[in-house]
Amino acid sequence: MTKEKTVKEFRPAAKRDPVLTAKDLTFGFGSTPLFEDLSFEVLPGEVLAILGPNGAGKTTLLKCLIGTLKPRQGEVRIGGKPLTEYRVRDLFPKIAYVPQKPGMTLSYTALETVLLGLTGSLGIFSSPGKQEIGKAEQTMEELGILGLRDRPVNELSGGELQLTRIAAAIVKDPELLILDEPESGLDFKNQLLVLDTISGLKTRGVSCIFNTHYPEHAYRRADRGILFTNRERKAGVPSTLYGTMETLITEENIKKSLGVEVVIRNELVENTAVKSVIPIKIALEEETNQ
Amino acid sequence: MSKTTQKRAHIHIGWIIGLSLFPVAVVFVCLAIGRLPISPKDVFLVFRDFFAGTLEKTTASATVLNIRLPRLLTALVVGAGLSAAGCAFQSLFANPLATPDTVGVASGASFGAALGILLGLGTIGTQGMSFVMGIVAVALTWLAGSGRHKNLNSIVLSGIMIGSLFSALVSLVKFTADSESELPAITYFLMGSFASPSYQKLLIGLIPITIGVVTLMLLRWRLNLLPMSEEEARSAGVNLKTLRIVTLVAATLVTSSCIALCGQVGWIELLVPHMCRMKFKNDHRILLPVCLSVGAGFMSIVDTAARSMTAAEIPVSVLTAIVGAPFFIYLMRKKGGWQL
Repeated sequence: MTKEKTVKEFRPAAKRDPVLTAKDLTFGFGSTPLFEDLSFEVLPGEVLAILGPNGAGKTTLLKCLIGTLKPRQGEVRIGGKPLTEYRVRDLFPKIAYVPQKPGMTLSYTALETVLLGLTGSLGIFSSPGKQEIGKAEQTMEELGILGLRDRPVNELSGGELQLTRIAAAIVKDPELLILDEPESGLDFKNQLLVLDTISGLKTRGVSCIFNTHYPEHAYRRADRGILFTNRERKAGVPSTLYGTMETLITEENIKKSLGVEVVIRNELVENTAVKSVIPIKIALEEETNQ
Repeated sequence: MSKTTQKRAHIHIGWIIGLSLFPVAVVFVCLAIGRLPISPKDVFLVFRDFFAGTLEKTTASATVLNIRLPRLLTALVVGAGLSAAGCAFQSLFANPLATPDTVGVASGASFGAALGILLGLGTIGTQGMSFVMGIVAVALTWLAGSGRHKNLNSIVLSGIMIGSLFSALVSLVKFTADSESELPAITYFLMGSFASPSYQKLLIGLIPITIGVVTLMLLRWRLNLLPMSEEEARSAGVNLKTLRIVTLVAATLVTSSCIALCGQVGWIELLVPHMCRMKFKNDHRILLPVCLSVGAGFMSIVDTAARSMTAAEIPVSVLTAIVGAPFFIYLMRKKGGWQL
């Protein structure tokens, strides 16, 4: 409840046009769609969390948002303009995407990796110069990873690598950062480093969409969320739920989404409402079906 | 180029000077070596007189300028070209084993060149045929190996398949060829040799090789994105598909032109980029020029050895393998190989 208020304070009042709007999105690889008629928007400085079980279609949804997959129906607009009308080099200064896993463990240095994030803004035949290196170093400094500058990325720890990849994404000052499970596989401290980065960007008016398996993270960091409830598809049952985190993270919804019975505890830590979600047991089939 | 490289900690200025001078030094030394001994000093004098316009026609000057120089220049160009193309193929397929040999380009281009000889197409026709077949082969490899279940090995596997398909076609060409004239020509050609050099042939080959190498050099920063996933490159604001196609065409143009020029040299396009990556890492801003320089020098040395070690000439591809394989294994064991 206090959540909504704090969120409102964060939002810059003047810029209220959504950065991203999705309207009636439907996508699926087989005959049954993974999600159907999904509509949502992301305002400037807003954080949107996407929750759901493995294989529900979280990554697929993100790929629809960056245009690598074409939705069966519906439309994504970035800054009011349909995604399909963008060229890659015009779209990606605005948005940045960090996939869950790097395509390859490359042995570029951390600085080179961050510099590669600026490639789109360079001329086709240009290499990054002093200005770009300065920008990359500044971004790395902000994330506290300037010390990794000349280390090959395939020798970094999981947390260091993730922060480097995020630095490569935000070095071009995007309006919207899209992250696929950015905190998975990291220890508590590195998870907090990643999540604090998201919150830090939010205070600067940068919007963020992230997939996560942690309802607690979603609750504490996101303003609104999408919960995949397509585990058992039945006619008339929506494949996704969309709303504020307060309405989304309930014991009932999580059971519907993940097929797990959970207990949710509300706590007030340092004047912020947090939730702890404790998994109890796997829900019985007939219970989830009702 | 020097502006960006000097600022970076990864390549020492000494390396830049050393690698720039390496091919030049190799040329002077190699011009002096051969059945007719000419000292490097005399080689220098021949060049001085040539540029001063006071050249006397002696056996030495004729040997240097008309026999050894075109051959060495061909070796330099082919060495540099094949190394750069090999490096591009490795990054393109995100695979350390992807080379013109392993992705089928070499077999395709050889088939094209053999077909060109069989049909009596002449130098330019053979070049063109070689390029077309090289592109066809690599396109087939790509189609076969980049389906939904693509992984590191599938490209090399399909490359081997397509490679053997084109090798079979080469055999078919040989089988059809006249055993008195065309067959030996094709066979010697495929063995890889710089033995029949001419400035005219070099010039015809030089044009497409230069176009390809210059394209790769201009794109050298973007080539760093090649091994990444489509999404990662997109996020950096680059359309990976276009970049891949441009790189593929440029690298295939270089490879097939080199093959049309001197047959299947082999090995160098795997060896040189591999060695360079072990020492200079994977940033193409540095890697690509280093490959050009090392490849040019290495090829010249190997060819000089091939023509002067014994009375009869050893096929250069035989020598690259004999010299290259042990040296490569030594480096790999010492440095632990490299990762893309």
